[in-house]
Amino acid sequence: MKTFYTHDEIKQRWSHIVQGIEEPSHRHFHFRPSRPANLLVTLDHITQELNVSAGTIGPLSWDPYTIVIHCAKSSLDSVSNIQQVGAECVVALPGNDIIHETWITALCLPRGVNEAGPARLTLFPSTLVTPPSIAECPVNFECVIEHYREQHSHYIAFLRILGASVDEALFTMDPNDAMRRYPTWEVDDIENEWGGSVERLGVLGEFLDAPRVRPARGWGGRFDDWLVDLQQTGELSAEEYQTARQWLDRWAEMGSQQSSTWGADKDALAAQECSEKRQELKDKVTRICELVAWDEMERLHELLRRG
Amino acid sequence: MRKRFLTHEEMFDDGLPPYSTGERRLNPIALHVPFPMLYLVTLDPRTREPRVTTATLGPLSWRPYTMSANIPMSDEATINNLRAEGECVMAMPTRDQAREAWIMSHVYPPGINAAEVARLTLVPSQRVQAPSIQECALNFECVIEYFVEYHGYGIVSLRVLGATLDDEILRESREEMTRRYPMNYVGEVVHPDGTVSPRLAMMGTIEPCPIFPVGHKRGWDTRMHSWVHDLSDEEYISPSERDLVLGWVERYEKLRLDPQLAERSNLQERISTFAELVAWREWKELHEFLGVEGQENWA
Repeated sequence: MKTFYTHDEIKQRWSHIVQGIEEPSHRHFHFRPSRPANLLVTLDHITQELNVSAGTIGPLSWDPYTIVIHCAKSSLDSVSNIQQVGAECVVALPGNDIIHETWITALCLPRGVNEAGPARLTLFPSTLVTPPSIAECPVNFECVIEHYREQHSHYIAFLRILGASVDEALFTMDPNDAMRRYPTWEVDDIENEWGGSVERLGVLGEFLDAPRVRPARGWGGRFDDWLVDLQQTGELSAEEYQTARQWLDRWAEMGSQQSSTWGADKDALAAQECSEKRQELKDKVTRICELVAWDEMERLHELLRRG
Repeated sequence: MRKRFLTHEEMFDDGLPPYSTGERRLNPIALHVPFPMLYLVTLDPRTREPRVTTATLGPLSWRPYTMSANIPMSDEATINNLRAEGECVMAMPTRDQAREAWIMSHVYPPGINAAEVARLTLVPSQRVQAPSIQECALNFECVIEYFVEYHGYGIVSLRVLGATLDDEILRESREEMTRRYPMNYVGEVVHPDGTVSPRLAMMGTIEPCPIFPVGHKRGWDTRMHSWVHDLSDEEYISPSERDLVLGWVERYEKLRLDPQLAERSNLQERISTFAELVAWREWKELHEFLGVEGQENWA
């Protein structure tokens, strides 16, 4: 059974909503996927003083490698420092060996007081940008701000990564083992004895046994290429490939006909869409994709032979 | 902690085959920041046929609750659907859906429903027309706030209208929940035979950050004053020590915009040292540092 919760119900944070469960924010955090944490090193534009603050990051693009950072409006230093296109910063990825230090950077000290001092984090000069990097973090991304905007309770900034300093140990370490150490993730808050919150950080722990699939291009790979791969590796015969190809081409043709006639004769199009012929072809193409994706080659051969 | 610096170009491994979108792959050392993965469900504005693809998710704001998803611009169908319909569903894949998620990350012929290919079931949503995914424990129903084209990706800001959650999940502990969803995308492994498999991972150990006195009793807070008062209220520092520190903070804030002043630098250093000694619970050193005459045996 599923239950629908409105935005306001999701946002309801500190109330004992789930019967029998003591943690007041229990339900709320079921709706907040954990997200990777970072330490952001920025410079005050006027005083040139350093600010180190804990936050979270999100994905943008892989090549060029860009990421988005989020700063709550209450983090006055960070918010002020990221509101300039071209400004430089360092995004350091903290490990689970510096949770104490990470938390200290989240303390609200007066603007201009560098949090790295109280946190006893070691700063070292970056290579391409003015803000320094953090020695205790296995990876420090040196970045430039390309875009920023107000986002309700936060400001966000799009960062282009110019380079990274990386712990030498990572070059010989199993990447999965590395990810079990860093970055830490913001997972949730739990209630403390004063009715406040305790931030909890996690690290990835279990790497799933994921399937190997073609095409070798991976994420975003096109099914057309997948079929070509199967033929080239001999998993599909030339005849089977041709049959599949014909169905796919016919399906593509039908799709383009549909697009070109849309608006000219909606009734005719509706009729076409509902036609048994179209549905039959769609079922066939879907079935080919499905059997390939699930690696059910015997059933695929049978389907294509029948075709 | 010896470091090696890599330029942006050196972060990529040109020996590996590029992605279908033409992007190079990052060096297999752990440079790939892991992100939560999602299924993005949209509707074709003309045919009303659903389209499902995968993307990675980023948090944006909590009030209201908004999140971002990144979609390659080469996935024209999804981009067009998002722009035309202005709404979508973000469904969270669960740990038992590694294969399904990987299947859905591929691009199928236009009009072919990847959810069917992945053997997942679409069900009606409550607030948006795009359907939700039955097998996912959590489905967010969203409207699009804005769309930005950025380095070959469409970045969408999605405002959450509501969400459906599996009832049995609600009673699970956070540890159990984070081992169920979200599934996190950590890049891919290219095998010697030319096949590719994704690196997908679930959350492992979760640890609490320190609590008061390392920070406010409330946890998150925006003012140092309340932390200093908390320390005094719980007798970690004396009232005179409290007033001394609050005086430093007040004076510093008055001088903050004049960074050349020696007094300001001096105050900055004192505040930093105070915060450091409290944060590391070095009480003896703290009281010595504060050097308040006539203090009692605090903390």
